[in-house]
Amino acid sequence: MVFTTAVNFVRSRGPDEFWRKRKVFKLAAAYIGRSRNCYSIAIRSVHRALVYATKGRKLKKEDFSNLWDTRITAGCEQHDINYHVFKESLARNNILLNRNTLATLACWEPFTFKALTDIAHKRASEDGITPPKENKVLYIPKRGSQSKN
Amino acid sequence: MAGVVRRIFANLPRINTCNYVKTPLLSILPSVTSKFYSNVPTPYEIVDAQEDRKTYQGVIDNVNRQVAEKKQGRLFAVVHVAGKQVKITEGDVFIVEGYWPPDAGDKISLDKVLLVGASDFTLIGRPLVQRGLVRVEATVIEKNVSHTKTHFRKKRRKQYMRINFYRTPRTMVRVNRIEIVGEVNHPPAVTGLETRIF
Amino acid sequence: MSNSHLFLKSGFIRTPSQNGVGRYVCQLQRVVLKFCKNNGSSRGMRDFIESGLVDFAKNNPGIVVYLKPRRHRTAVISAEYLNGDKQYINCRNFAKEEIIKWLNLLKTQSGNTTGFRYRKLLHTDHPSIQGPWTPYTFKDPAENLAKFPDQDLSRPKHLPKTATEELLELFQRSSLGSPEGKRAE
Repeated sequence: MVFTTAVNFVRSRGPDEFWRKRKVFKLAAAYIGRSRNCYSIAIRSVHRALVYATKGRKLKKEDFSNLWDTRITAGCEQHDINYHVFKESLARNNILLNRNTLATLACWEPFTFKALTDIAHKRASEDGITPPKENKVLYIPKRGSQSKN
Repeated sequence: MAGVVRRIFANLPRINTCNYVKTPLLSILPSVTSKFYSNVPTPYEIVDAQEDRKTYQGVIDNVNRQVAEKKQGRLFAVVHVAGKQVKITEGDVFIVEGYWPPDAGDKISLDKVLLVGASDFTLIGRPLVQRGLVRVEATVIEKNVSHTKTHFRKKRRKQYMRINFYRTPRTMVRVNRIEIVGEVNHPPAVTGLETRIF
Repeated sequence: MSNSHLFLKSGFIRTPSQNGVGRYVCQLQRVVLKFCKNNGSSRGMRDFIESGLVDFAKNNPGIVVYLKPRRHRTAVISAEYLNGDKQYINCRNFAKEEIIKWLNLLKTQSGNTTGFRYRKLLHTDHPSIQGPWTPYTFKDPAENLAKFPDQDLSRPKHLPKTATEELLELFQRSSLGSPEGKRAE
């Protein structure tokens, strides 16, 4: 074997302790205090960090799904419709946009979102789905023949 | 007065100005109906069918005119790709995660269009926009794998530790064109034959 | 300062020179297959060179393929891209199929993306076509002229019923409150 430095030559002979530890120290290079340099502390924090990273990938998805819900609820509130009624009416109309898309539309294409809430309103009033608390007839909708009456 | 008094409760398929694809209304979930059960009197509605048709025909005519004169501006679409929905417009690049057969350099057309919109109108599919009405063309520009993700599980004081590494395949797609071809609310007499092989 | 950028770089989708807008350009320019003629660890590479390499070169005229035999060294693929990236893949003890798989991956990549995390899986120059939502998007323009303090506008939108109101309602509904009830007395 050829070694450019004598240091690595010395290290490659013995047990693999140095190389084993180096993997961990590489991950701990940016840590604060002794967890950067002391192996027994470094390994603990590296393990913890890797567990967090693994769990965090799932949490990120949950967080985003909560964010979409918040955004859709806010959009629905502005157009005077309950979130659940909105979703149910869209499903009954066979409009299968997912929550991610609905949240994007509420943010970036507000008029499309308004059109969706209008459709949901119509369907909800036709099928009589309103949440229990808002169970009241606000007005009798009329279409078309308004001018004749 | 040619008014028709109709109970709104009647489950009749109707065309909203935005929904031009007539589909049977299938999804009526009994569980939710009972959840939102109400005993308030059902509101009645006075419907004038002719006036009604005039209203939505006007909207559709306006849309058709805009499309014909190419005054609709930039279009966006929501497409269903590999199990996910993406909102795209011309010139976008999006990544499809997981195994997806198209190869780099392939020109593909994305057919599952759920929604098409412009600044003035939106076509909403139930669930898909009429086949052949909207053309979404795209090019696959890159296929690679993600960075290495470490899957590490550990239980304290239980001598349990597992480590695994994985990389997911990714496909980068460039959207070349989104356009409306043909007329809105004017479906062909026979549909569903495009996908059949005789 | 955080040093996280030293370990796993992250960023957004970048496409070299608008690839795919007009036509698709293969970004891989040069491939060097390094191997040993005797050692068993290069066996898969030698198999590939014997059977699959000519086809690969024929199918990809845009990619320059070099062969570099080296004594007693591990088999390696080194790939060079249009953007100047260089990527090595250690092919020690790889089978022929594995080498084909990695070569295909290198062919379809646009640069060395190992160790790069995408923050978003969508890049768009036009995030909004209708204009993004603002607090004023659906507001009544008449509110511009409103003079504050305004009683109607200052009231909360959804105010739950107070206990007094509920009691009053109960009273109205009961026999005491309704006119029929009174007549019965």
